[in-house]
Amino acid sequence: MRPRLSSRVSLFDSSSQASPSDTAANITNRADHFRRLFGLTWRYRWGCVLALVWDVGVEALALCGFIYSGLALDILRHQAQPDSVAEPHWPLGIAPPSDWVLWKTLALASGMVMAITLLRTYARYRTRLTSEKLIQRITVDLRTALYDKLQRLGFSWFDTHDSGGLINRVTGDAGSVRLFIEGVVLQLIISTAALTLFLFYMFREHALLTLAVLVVFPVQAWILVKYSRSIETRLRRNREALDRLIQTLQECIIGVKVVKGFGQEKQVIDRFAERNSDAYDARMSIVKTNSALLPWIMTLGFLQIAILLLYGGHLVNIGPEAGGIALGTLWVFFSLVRQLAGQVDAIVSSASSIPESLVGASRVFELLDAPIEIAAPVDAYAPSEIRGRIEFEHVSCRYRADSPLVLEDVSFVVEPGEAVAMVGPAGGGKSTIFNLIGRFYDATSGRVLVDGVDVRQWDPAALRRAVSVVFQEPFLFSNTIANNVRFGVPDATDEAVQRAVQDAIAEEFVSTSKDGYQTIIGERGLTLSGGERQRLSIARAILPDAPILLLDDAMASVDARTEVRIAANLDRVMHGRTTLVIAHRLSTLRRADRVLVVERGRITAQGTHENLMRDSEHYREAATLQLDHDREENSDTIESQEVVR
Amino acid sequence: MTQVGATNLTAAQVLTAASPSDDAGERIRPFDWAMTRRVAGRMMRYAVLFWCIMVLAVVLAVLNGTIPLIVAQTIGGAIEQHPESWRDQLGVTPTQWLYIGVSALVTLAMLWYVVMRIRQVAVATLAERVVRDLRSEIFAHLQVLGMDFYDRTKVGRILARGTSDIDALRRALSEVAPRLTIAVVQMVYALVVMLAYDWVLGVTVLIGAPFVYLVNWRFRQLLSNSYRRVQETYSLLTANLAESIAGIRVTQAFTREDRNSDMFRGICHLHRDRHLVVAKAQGLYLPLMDVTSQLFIAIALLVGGLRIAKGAMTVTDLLAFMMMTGVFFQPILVIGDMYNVVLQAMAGAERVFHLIDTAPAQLEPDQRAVVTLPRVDEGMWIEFENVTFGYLKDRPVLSDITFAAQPGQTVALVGHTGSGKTSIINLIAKFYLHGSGRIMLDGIDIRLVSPGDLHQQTGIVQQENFLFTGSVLDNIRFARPEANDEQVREVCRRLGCLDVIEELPEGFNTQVGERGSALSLGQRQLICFARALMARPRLLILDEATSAVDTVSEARVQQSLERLLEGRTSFVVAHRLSTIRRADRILVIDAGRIVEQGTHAELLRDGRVYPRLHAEFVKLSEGKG
Repeated sequence: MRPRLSSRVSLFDSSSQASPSDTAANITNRADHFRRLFGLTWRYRWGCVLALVWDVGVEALALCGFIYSGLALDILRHQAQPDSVAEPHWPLGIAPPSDWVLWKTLALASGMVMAITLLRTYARYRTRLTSEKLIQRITVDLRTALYDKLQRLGFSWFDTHDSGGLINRVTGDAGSVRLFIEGVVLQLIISTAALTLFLFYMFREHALLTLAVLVVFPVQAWILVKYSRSIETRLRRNREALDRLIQTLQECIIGVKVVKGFGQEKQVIDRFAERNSDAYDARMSIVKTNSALLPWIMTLGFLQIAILLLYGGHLVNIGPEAGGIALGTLWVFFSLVRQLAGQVDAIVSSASSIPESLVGASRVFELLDAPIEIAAPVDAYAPSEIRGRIEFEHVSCRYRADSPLVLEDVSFVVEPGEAVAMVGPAGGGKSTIFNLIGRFYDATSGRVLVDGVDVRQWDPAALRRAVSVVFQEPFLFSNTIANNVRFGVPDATDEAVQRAVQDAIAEEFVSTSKDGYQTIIGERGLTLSGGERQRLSIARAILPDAPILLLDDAMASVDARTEVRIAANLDRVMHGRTTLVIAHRLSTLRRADRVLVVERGRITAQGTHENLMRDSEHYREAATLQLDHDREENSDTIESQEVVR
Repeated sequence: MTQVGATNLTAAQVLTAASPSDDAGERIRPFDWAMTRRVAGRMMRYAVLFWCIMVLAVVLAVLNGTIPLIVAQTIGGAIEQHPESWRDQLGVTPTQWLYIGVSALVTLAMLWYVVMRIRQVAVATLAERVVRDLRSEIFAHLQVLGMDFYDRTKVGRILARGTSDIDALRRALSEVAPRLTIAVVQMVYALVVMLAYDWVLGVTVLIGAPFVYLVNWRFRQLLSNSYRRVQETYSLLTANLAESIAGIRVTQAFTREDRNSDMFRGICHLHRDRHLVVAKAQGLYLPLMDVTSQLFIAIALLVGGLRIAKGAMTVTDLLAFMMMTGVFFQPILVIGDMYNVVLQAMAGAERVFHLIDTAPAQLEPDQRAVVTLPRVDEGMWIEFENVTFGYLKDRPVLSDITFAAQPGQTVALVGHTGSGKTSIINLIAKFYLHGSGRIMLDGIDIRLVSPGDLHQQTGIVQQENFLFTGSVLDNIRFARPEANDEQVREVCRRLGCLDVIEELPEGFNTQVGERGSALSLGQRQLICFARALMARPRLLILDEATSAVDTVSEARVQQSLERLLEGRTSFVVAHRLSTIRRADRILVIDAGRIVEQGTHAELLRDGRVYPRLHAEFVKLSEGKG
């Protein structure tokens, strides 16, 4: 992870500071990335060859077209000055009969130009399509591979990677790998082929003129390289200035009450003006570099034409017989020089995109190489029938090697069919216990057993199908209510979905929403309250009919009366199954067969609620502390539903 | 089956059926003269610069047309040997002619460089200045807009006004006018030259031009339609990707990994197919211009050849003509490009101006009637008399609110979410203007008080403890920018939290992170208290944080809070029993009305609602608090 704080800039800074570039760190892996990228390209070699063939065809046809229009010029010139200008040679010696009248010969030549042009259009069309197909194949392969990998990485991996960056890996970074294959490898081969073809023709026609014309290209390339170097820092400065500007804007929108509440509108307007003029300056500095260097490319192009004119004109005057060239050949040279400029441009720009695509590629490879921590063992245990016994044997757990233990030597057993509640302060380790049962993390030491088998011996998929979880944060997808409920059992019938929704006491708001079960949830659809979301996630969890149900504070936002109704339904639905509940209300504790008090990573007391209340001063205190804490965290809803009633 | 957008996928085949709302809004809008005039008005603030750019554009167009002409004349003159040629009439040898032509070409090339360079800087300066002005205007206007605007507009949407919309406008400003001028002048110039050389050939080209333009236009439409469809699947793709990552825990808990992968592959394939449609259109369109100029060259060769045979024109003329076709057709491409840029800018400009045109709520009193609040040391005296209020006209959220807060009193507002506590606070701070009834501040009608004046004497602590990115010092000083470091320390000392801040890694210079993320909740709360105290408020508004406090002990926060409330009139949306008990006056609010008010003791003794409420509070707190 990059250090966040240092790179963020504050609303209060007036000076712009450049942050150190972090590309240097990747240089060591460069050669390695190159190898892998070429390896990846090799996988698509036939697609590349096909694209190459079409493209060379396009360039060859372009050359032919120029040759025929040049020929037409020569024919005309010969016609106008038969004495001083020699009769032109038709390419490959395929000439019309010599007794043809002028207009016939001309029509043939210009007909050839038209025919070649149309052919070339077709070839260009095919080139575009072939290379697009290739690009898309690479993109789809990469994206699905990345996505597939993302689906399988463990929770701990997601704990340390921010989601914005991950999205970019599948979209932007996958794009830069594609760019490498398409832009660097393929473009280099194509441009080289085209250059070879054109230069071959030019050298054969007149070597010295070719050399004279070519002189300009290295100068142009040098300017472009110089440009890309000097623009890089400016682009970064501009991006940073813009980031600061946007950050200030955003903070002043989010913190509008603070700005207004303290009457500090003028202060923020001044600050924004500063950011704004910084952004203006940064932008203008780019423009100045652009305008100083980029017009040179075109100007040098004009100079190239000047060389062609001066030397070529001289050669035309001499005439092909005396070691010069025909006017038509000069015309071909003139047209080819323009084509060459395009190819040189392409080579330079693809070369300059190498660093960028390497950075992207390194991020893609990093993701593809990330080890899957929770992998299925050989001979994975996947029984057909599961009883639902849970056992912790001296389990200790820490989330990261350098962080403190969240669970320390925890041992307990939950028998099949038992309903156990856990209580304790936030951060005490309750959720960790849940995470270990479904093997979303691995214990640092000790064993977690389900039905007497170590969870690490289980097939993770079978284990997770046996365990249904309602997470503290009720995440729902922006899809229909029905599809959300049947998330774990995609082919569940509508009746089953409806039953689950009814059991979670969600039927009422589902049926009153616009499209019933087909209502789409989310920003653009139905916005649900916290309690409603929790009820749907409970419905989602009971639909698979799993032998073990874990409810992580699943009814915190549900009002007390509804909770009682849901609990009654759960008792019926989960009859004979194992239930673990993280509790925040006394009623839940009372209902449980047994209560575990989890504090500072240990189980400090267990027993029935009544026993504990009677016997343990500590439990009374711990339970009430927990309840008080939860009240405050969820005061909005609890207040609304319980306080003023 | 619920269909997903304009695709053939059903909701069951994707994770995210509705892409999260797009803050950018529609991408293009039809051309609109009124909008264009408004944008042009902004440009005309820099009229000299604008006209310079236009003149440079004309010069550049003429140069663009003249250079090929010189090339043709040079080569033609050097090789041709008939008595009427310019060269013969001037008595110059072919070699001399070549030298003259090439020198002219080099001179023009250098001139082109100079003109181009000046033009680029001028164009960018104009565009960037207009953009800078607009941005500042947007920001300043945002400060004027009332809370009603912020309540109904999402952050992302406001941000987009200052970013993507402005960018669309910038592109149009820096490109459209100058490049269109170049394009048009260049076409006219080329046409005149061509007609001058040979009118028959010239007319041939002229007839072809509308056809080329039409084909070009049609392809653009085709392309932009299919491109929009690509955008649709792309946002479907990213939306699904984003939710897949956000919901990864649910996916793994319900073992949907394989199914999700298949689903994503399906979307990728759909996206690929749409890309291929674009590629097909592009594959036909892009060579089109090339084909046209090649076809015209073929036609020119044939027609021109026959005219040369007749002696109506020379080979040089034909050469010049062939070069001018390029000059003539190239601008058509540019014009097509510009069209799209203009439509995008229209959409951006429409939204930017809509924001600028949004009238702020009428919170400022009439200049003549405005009354300044007294500047005294004691707290503010606040009275509500039969106040009603609603955010929307027909939906009252407060009715018949009457109470008084004496200077220095702490008033606790109690009631469930949506009962109207926050609305009362919004009225006291004059974030909104009430309906009927009267609100008096120090005996002055709030309608006559300028919000700025009131806010100068107000301290505010929000529930979410919002901090700006920057140091602790910067944040505390936000309430009074002119305060020096010692004054900031003094405020913290008075709150009794100086040690807490000094214990931070870099003390007062510790960076708080984005929205205070580098600090614990308790630390953030204390900094917000200090910021409020920094304002030396006579009126304090505090929305008590609901979450429990961590490393900074609860007692610590309570102690600071007490000191903060001391000696000023305070309104607290209370979430803690201790705060409620200590209040001088409690307003029990339900459904937009004050159902009971009094001190804690009075209400416990005489109230109907409060005792029940208090009992619930106590029960929930189970002996604590």
